[in-house]
Amino acid sequence: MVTTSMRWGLYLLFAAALVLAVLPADAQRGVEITIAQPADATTMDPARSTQVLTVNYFVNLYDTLTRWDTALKLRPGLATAWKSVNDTTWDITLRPGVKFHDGTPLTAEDVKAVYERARTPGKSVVAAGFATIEAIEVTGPTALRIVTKKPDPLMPVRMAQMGGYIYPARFASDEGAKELARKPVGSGAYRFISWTKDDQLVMEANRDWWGWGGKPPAVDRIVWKPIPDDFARLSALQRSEVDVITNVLPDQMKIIRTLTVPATRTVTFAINTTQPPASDKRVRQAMHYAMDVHSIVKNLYAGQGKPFSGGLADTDFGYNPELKPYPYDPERARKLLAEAGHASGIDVTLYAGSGTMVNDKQLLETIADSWSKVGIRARIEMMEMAARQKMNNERTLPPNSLMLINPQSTLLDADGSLWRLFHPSGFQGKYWAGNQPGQRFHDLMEQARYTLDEKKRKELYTEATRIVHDEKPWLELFQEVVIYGVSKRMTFKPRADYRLIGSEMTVAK
Amino acid sequence: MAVVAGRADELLIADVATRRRRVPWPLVLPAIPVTIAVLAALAAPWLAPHSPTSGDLAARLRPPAWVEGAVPGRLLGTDLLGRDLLSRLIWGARISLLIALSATVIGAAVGSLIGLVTGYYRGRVDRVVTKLIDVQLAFPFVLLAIAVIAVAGPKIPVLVIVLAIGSWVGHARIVRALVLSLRERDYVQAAHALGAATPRILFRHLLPEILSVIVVLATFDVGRIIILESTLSFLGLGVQPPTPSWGSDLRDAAAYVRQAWWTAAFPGLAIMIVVLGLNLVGDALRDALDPRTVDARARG
Repeated sequence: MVTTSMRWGLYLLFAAALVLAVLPADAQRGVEITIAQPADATTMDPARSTQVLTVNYFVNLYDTLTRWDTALKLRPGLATAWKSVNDTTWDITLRPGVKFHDGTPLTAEDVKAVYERARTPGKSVVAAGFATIEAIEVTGPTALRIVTKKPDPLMPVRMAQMGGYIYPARFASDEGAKELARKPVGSGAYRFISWTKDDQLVMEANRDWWGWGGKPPAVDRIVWKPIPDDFARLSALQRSEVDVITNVLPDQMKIIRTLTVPATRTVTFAINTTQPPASDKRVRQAMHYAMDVHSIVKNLYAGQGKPFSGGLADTDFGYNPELKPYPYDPERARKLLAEAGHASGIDVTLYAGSGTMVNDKQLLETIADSWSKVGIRARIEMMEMAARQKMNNERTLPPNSLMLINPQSTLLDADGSLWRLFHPSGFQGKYWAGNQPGQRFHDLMEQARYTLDEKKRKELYTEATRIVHDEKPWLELFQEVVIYGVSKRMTFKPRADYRLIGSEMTVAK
Repeated sequence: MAVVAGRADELLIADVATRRRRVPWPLVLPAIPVTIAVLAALAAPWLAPHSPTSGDLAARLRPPAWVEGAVPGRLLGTDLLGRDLLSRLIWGARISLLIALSATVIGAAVGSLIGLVTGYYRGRVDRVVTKLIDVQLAFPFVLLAIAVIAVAGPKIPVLVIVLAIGSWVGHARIVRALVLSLRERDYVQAAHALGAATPRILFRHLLPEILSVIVVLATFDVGRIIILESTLSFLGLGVQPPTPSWGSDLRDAAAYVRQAWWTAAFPGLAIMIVVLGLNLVGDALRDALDPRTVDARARG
């Protein structure tokens, strides 16, 4: 009897031990999701990349002082309050009690160190966005003051931009940055676990994060797997090996479950207008009338896109809804060309980097085909991406040539897109000869940059976008749509700014 | 020994003469698709029912005529941009064959000549050239292509030269290796001893011996180069759109295999049939040209 009860006791003990051993482990493991983008991150150092795929890693690992929510409203991040003391001075209060993933407290000193590094050209690739800052003063452990060179109405927005991701001050040195690039330490919703280059990067929920709002994280682990081939990425999703894929071909939307949202990014072509015939605005208008953007969006992009005019996506501050895209009107195009003295047609070249966006080559071929019907003879040159980067950086687009670009404003403001591109030092600015309307546009944009009054700024942008609409200094096609392929269990609100944020995702059990 | 070489030459001529009388099956059958492709390439403007570069976006990815949903008049269906696939295949033959054949001919000619000379002379020239070949083989071809095309621009003649650069080393290596062993043969030594000039030895005595190898190698190269050209097109370094070529059309269609199999199937089939045909033609040619098989046939 004794032995039997002892045996039963032992069984019970075993069972209890097993349950105890399994339970906590299970609770800790939680839900793991896998995200597949077409390329791996190039670095974990947020001052060193603005590439959209890489920034998706930063945005989970690090916090910014302010941040965009899913509806693209500016919300408090590490900063709980900010106010302008006068035209050029901002006082910022930081969230108390925030800790980095390594346990050290996050203070105003860290913010200062990060911003100082970010605004130093050569130390970072994001210096332009911080160029308006004159000085940063630490006024307390969780308080700091930012002084700008001129009135900068966008300062709170700049705190949410790329490069504004806060890491401990000790990583702001050259030596520290090297370590940070491999083993990032932030204060974000997810902390870094491991990274095998071109294979996978793993992050785990930071349960101490201030932003969970008392709820446990829905996603406990994120595994990022780069899969370059479009078709392979799609297959991985269909085999349920991954939960989210980016860069989905619109044609494949029928086969998989997708989440979409109109993007902040637009599809345009820079035009070198410095020489005839492209220097004549009638020629540039003719280019627009001679292509059927609606048909391109409907057929080539499965309806995913919104034709636009005036230079700005509808998510940007300054967007002018009164400007309607030019309709498809080949007759009018022919007439405009004839009026400009080119009844026998013109010759242009269309350039694009192979892989700039989905269906890029097909897009160029379609434009060239429809242009050929009104006498615009377009030669196509698809370039390897490095050559495209070089042409972009060195501004070597030849006269009467066009190049496919898809710009996006991370400030969600005309200043971050139109003015960044059309500034005389910007990629498109150099090619828009400083003629009368061009000069007027420049003056408006420069004035708006330093105008604190929102209404006044809006008026300035309304006029500036009207100039773009009429002058067509670039070829305007449509606003992109973000398309994610997702597994059945995933739900999240896709973001117009292309960010994939783990803390905003939920997973069905 | 000179007699031996002479006999081979005579037999070769004799064989060409007999071939005129009875046409060998193994040569004719595979030659049919190759001939069709060449004819299509030559007569593209008259054969193609539609424009290869102009399409109707609203009628894209439509299936071939015998499948439901086809557009009338588009026998093989339409491609990603609604262009007639058959017309693109016909025009594509022109570009693909032009590029592949000229690159192969240039590559084979240059490679074989260098192989012949270095293999025969050996010595310093040989060492330098062999090192050069090793360097080029160690260098990734695509990187080399990017460099050359970045400087010279993506034009068809540049493409031909680049692809020829990619193919000459293979010929040079194999021909050199063959010549190294052949030059020690008695008949070559004899020709040399009889005072034959070097060009005569190279082209009358050595070249016929290795011609079969060169031909076979070249027929394989044509297929390889068609594929290579598609790789370059994919990187934006090859044939520039909207010019149709089999390789680049196949590459574009790869992502659409599930929705529109015909866009990939027909260019793929075209490449396969022509490459297979060329290989079989190459085989038959080798049998016809090889002095050894001629010997065997003469004896048999």
